[in-house]
Amino acid sequence: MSDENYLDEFIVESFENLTSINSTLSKLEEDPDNKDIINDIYRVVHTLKGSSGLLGFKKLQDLSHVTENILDLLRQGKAQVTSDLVDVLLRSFDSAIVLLKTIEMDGNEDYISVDKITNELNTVYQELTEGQGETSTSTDDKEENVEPEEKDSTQDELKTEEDEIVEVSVATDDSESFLEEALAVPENTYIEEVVDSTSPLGSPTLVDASAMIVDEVSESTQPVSENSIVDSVIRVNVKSLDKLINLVSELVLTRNQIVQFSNHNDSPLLNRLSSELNVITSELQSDIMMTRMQPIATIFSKFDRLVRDLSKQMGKKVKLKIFGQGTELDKTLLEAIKDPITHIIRNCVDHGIELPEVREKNGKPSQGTITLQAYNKGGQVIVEITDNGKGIGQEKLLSKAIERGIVSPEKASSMSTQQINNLIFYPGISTADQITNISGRGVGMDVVKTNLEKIAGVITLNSQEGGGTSFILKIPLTLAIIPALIVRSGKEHFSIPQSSIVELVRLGENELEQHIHRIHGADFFRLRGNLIAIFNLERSLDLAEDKSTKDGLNIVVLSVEGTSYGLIVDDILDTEEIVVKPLGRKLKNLETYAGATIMSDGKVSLILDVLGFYNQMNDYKVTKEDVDSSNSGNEEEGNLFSDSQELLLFRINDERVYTVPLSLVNRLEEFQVSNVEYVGNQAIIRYREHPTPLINIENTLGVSSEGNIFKEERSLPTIMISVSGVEYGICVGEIIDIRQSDFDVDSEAVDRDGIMGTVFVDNKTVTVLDIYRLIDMQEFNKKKNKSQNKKNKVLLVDDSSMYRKVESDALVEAGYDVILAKNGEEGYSTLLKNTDVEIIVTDIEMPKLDGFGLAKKIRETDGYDKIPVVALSTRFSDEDIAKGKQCGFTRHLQKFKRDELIEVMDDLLKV
Amino acid sequence: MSEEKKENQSKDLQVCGFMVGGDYYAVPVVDVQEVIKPMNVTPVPLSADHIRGLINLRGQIVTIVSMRKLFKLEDSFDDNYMSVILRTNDQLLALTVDEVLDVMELPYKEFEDTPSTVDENIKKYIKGVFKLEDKLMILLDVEKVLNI
Repeated sequence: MSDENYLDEFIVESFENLTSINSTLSKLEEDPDNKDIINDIYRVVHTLKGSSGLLGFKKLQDLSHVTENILDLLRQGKAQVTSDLVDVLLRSFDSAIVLLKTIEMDGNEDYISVDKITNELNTVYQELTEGQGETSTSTDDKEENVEPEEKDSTQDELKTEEDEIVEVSVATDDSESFLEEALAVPENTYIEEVVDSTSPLGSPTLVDASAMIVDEVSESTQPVSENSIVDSVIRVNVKSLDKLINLVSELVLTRNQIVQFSNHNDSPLLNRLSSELNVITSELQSDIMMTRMQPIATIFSKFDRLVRDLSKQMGKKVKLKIFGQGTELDKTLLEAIKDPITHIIRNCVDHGIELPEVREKNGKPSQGTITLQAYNKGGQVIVEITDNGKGIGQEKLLSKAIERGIVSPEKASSMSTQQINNLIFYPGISTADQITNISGRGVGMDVVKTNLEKIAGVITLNSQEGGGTSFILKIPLTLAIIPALIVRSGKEHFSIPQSSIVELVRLGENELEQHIHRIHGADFFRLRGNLIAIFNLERSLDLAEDKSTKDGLNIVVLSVEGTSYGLIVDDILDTEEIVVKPLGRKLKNLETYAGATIMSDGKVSLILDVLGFYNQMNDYKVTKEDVDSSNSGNEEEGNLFSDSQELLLFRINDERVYTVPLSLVNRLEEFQVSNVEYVGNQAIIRYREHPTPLINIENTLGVSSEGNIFKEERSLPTIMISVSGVEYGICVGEIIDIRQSDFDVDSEAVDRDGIMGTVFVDNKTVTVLDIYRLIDMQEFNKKKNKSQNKKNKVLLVDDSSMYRKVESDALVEAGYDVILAKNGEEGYSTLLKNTDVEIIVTDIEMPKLDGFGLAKKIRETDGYDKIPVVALSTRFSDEDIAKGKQCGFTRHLQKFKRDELIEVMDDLLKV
Repeated sequence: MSEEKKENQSKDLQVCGFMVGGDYYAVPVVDVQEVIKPMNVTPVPLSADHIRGLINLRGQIVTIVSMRKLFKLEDSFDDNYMSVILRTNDQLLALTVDEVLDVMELPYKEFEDTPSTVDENIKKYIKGVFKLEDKLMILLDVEKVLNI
């Protein structure tokens, strides 16, 4: 069974053409030498032949083929138009109409015989050619020769019509079911099926078409399908549709205003009417939008041929699989994505798929596959284009990018796979060795991206070297009306397209310090372990600041093109369906806004361009990219289930790279040496009204070659940390970066006091500083008395040796007697062995038995239902906290907050 | 402008007059759609200085340009300012002016090229001046203003 969408289109088009032919033919009889008329008829028949062949209607194809041959003779002037000839042609078209009607009713042409008329036509054709002394061209040969061209021109003709006209189904009573049928195209229809399927051979009881023509004339008694497709479809100019859509957009706005007004009004009548208006308008809106929707097959169908031609040209074997052709999209969007998809497919054939020999050598089937798939997801249409070719050559791409100055060599070394892949979207990059006329000219992917962005689409790609590449295009269903979130900043209201919004976060005042970090003068927000840049909308746009006191922050987390960022707004108001209106000429160049809209209160609101806004915030970009690289790879999995840590990397004078966990760092600052003061030998700096001790880390570690770093006038990059309620500044040589690492500290290679061990970051060894030890080593701390009187026994359970060391050091220093265990199971058995344990401190994420399990097990054990269990983690979702409580955690604390831990423990043990 | 001058030597030009910073200006009446009272303006942050913002003119979003800002004059915060809505090629633009005068007919024979004494900031937006008995009427070049 052929694709129904094609079928409907085919039937409607053919009926129209054939009906018009009858009058055209009569004209021809009057004016036999008019070449234009002959050409018109020829074209129609040619189209009919092409499309019937495509859909596998053999009889119709044969019929039109021989008719076409006759017309061709007329066209070339090799035969004369005679009244007899017109008669035969008319009869041939009548038969074609009969065939079409049968096809419309039954979906096939099995029960109609057109042999009689076909034979008659053949005879006429032979007579004509013999008359001309031309017998040599066998029809078969001819057909084969012109086959590809014919198909092409057929499609071209289809295309030109599509450009102007869309088909609209007029709903009659019965046509709803027809519509549903027409719309419900099986998701996985291969185009091959369409091409391959030929209708089964005729059944024994054939009805001759010519017999049926007579019936038709004498008031047909033939069963005619009640909801004939032809009768329920009319052609409408796209312009009238556009106008309707604009009017509906206006109606939606007016509706919004009326609904808003009636909400503030007590009249029950008004309320009832406005809610009715609301419903009707919504329905009207969605229906009118539907009229512009077309199946994506209209553009997909062209790619089959493209791939075939290209691969032939390049000596490659490529198969194109197409899925989800019935997915519908707004007509303008369809047009907008056609070129980008064409380009990507060209690239897939040209760059992606290897030559058959190369493929075989690499153990792949010699024929490469490109899969083109479309489906609906979350209010968007997703188009995936995947090839199983060689993937993107990372090194080649990178060296090209460096050569073109797109990235610096230093930067290049720290880029993630994803970041490197995304380089292909930069202008001027192409990895094809040779410039072919297909691709490799270094224009293309950047244009693809910009074109998609124009229609608010998003493109992402995944590539595996040797394994292929896949592009994922996310396209909005329709452009004119979009759901948006309305936010307030200062006095102004802004709309943010819902499609870019990931989530809304509200931070209470007391959470700010924990979640907001300041690095290199830019603000970052810690969202479940990832740092994302945040911008204050008010400040970014130079708005008059809202002076009212705020008891927290509203952050709108946005994601566009794989980058996420947060927007701090004063208030989050509502979601609304907004009508996007373009900005005037004068404001077009402002990339911050995607347009404007009229709100329900009649005021104009600007629509933020989520990507444009981000690009505007150029100043922060470098920092942001730095952080991105530390986030890379974490976007999907997150680091929820590992002890993965963000590490701050820095350098001191000995050129080694050092690190401290970012969670220990309050802020990064830069001081001037001239501002450093001394108290005795201790360097201090006035920082936020407090004298803050500065630690010369080079001296402390004994690595300094020059002596005092405070002597030379320069700026001092300083890491601010708090220990026991005192803030210290650790002066370092240079702050490098923030990286994500598993933080599996190897303490074997510790060569100095103050160093905890080493970790691998990007395959390089980095030294981890023991900050607490470093501070203890300072002069001013050496004299301090430590309270050593308590000696309570604590069981510390953590799978990370680093944490075990940090925490046990802290606990021992605070006067505890520490027993260690590596996981929940070991912890439990250790607990049973050491009955004098008074408190348990445990990590949550651990192998074998996690913190939740351990707590549960402890609580279920006789005599241990009261023992304090303090959980340490980096996770603080409500869910986790609730789960912890349920499992029996006494307290749930942030890891690495040593002072807080000691305080809590002391407090718990006092009771 | 000189062709206009020659062609229309005998005719009058119908203009809508207005005042900005104490000077008299005029735009051809055919380019004016309407004159409106102050409306709720939505400012456009980060836009050019002379863009006052956007207004909702019966469902259409129209950009407002402050003539004072455009001419690099001090902006007045007078609540009584008026906006002249220009329409050309289906583009709408609102100009805020200090005061709107009557529609008047200016004789082309009084039309002259822009005198060199006119401030450079203003000169680029005008076509020329009408020398009337008691005052100078400056003719705005609507195309230039629309294409700032």
